[in-house]
Amino acid sequence: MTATLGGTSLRDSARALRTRGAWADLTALLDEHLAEVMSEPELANARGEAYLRSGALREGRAWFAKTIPIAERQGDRPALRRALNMIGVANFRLGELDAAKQEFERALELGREDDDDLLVARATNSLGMIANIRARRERALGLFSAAIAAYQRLGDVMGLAQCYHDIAIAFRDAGDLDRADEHELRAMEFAREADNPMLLAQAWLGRAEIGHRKGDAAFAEAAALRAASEFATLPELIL
Amino acid sequence: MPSLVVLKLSDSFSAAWVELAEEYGLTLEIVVSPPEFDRHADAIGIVAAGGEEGQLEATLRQICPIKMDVAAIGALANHRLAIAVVRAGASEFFALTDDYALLRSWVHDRADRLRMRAQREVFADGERAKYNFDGILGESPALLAAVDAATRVVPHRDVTVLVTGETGSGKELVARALHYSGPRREAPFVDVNCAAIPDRLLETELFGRESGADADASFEVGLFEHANGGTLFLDEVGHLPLRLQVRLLRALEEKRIRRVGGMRSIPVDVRVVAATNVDLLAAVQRGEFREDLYYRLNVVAVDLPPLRARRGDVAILTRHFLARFASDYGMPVPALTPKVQRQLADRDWPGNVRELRNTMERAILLGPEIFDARNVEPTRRLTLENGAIPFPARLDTVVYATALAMLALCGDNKSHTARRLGISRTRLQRVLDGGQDDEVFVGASLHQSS
Repeated sequence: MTATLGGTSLRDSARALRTRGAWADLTALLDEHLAEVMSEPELANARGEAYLRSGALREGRAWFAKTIPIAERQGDRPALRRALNMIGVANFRLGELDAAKQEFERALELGREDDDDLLVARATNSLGMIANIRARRERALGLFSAAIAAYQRLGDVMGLAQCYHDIAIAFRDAGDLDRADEHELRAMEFAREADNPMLLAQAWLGRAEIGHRKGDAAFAEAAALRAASEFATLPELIL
Repeated sequence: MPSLVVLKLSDSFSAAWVELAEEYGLTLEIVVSPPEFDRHADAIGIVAAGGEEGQLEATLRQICPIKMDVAAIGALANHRLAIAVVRAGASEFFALTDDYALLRSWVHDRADRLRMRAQREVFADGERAKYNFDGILGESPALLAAVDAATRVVPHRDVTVLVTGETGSGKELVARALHYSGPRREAPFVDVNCAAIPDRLLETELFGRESGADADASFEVGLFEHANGGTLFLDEVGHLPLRLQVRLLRALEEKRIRRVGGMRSIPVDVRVVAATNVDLLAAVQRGEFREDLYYRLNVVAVDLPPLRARRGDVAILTRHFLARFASDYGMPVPALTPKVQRQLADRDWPGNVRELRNTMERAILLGPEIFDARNVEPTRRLTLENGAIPFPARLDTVVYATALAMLALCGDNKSHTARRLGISRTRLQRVLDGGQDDEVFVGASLHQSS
């Protein structure tokens, strides 16, 4: 007996477009095969991600609300975990923090149950960001420390760059400017290792803000100029 | 490259293995007998028995336990068979062709994990290159003695270390070097600033939580567990409240923790490195720090000297930081005039190596190509004349001087200072930054009008 294996070419094409970040082409391709996309959680997640990456957050959220129950019914836990994290991101960016928190918590629980360390790291970091926005600084610091440990376990330098930047914001908001700057320096270190100009620019911008709050206008200006020159190297992307 | 190892008990689904291996960048290895199946952990296993399901359970019992995750494959969805093979050691059972999408997702997930493991090894090597004892620069005898003491502890994975020294003297650098040079380097290095988190939360952060009203999830893993296999760096350990000192001592002695609100005792394999910038022994004598915990932490003591006690190292460190930042920021390395070098060596550097580093970074970012003495001047020097709080004086001057005096009393620890002044850390920072302290002025005007 030989397995009948359908859908590979669509999946391969979709993966290639996703890797290249060709979100418009990916959208066009998947929309031509909607029935297949709806029945394949990996493709459904790719379509939802394309909405988010293109800035169509409400559409992305509505898409995941429709496709998550399908992944649940099919018992595809890896796809379900990723989808929950992405709908959480959509709600977070739309400012729906209660909904985002619930989704990240659910993703975190599934990630822990399934030993999905990357999802645990991402969901924990996202919960830290929500805690910080809600001025629960110390709670945020604890969550970011946990996320850093998870990213270390993965050796994920890009995740570490993002997380150190986020923890720096928490320290900055708590008024601990020296420690905030230390963490932005670490974020820059990892952003360079990850060769990620966006994260490097974010960290420089963070340091500019810290310099400004310290009353060090000259440093703030120099750091902001560094941030601007890094941002200038980026293509026009909605992220 | 990770492998997909398939033990074929029948010829079914052969095309699927080729497709899955190609799809997820795995090397395909087909074997036909259980002894050949025994592979290292860098592989995903499949035992395929389409049409020969009767052999699955016995075969799995023969090969398990095994380091890699193994999926059992049959042709029919049979829940009794699924239960039997999972009990025999398989991670999952898939009935092809119906479950092909689920199998693909499972292989995808496992392949990702194998790649992450490889990534972790690369990361640990990178961190080791950044944080090692050769990177702790200086030639002063006091520094060399401290580094020597720390180096001796490296291979002893369970020995606790107490690192002492002023703020900015490099305590965290020593802790990281200990971690990344030693046998725990592939596990996390988790640092916690005991002064930055309030007592109530610190307990949950360190030990985790089972349930509660303040919950973000049904249970929460604490930093002890997150550091499992690695190092937990407890900075400013002198700020640990007595109640938590008891819990920490128990965790160190029993190598087990209990989450807050939990009944279960959880084993943890962690090296604890503690650090402090205050005299912990004096805290023991004042009854603020448990003596038994002090000796439990202080198995090996590493005492880092302040930079002013090793002025000869200033030139070495200056050259190092200038070269590093010039390289990082794509700038030329500025030349140091003899006058600037003298100025640098003569400064007291109250913020120690960190202050020197920040000064050099600032000089690279802001300075002209020729290094100018103006760039090494601190942006602000916090001093009190004769240590006295001025009176009579403007209210903002008195507030500022009081904050400075308390900061000095608390060994430059801002969290501790804020607590002792009875204000928030944010407000303390605002006062120290020279900003208007609105709360004081609002309070004063209300008082006058009443």
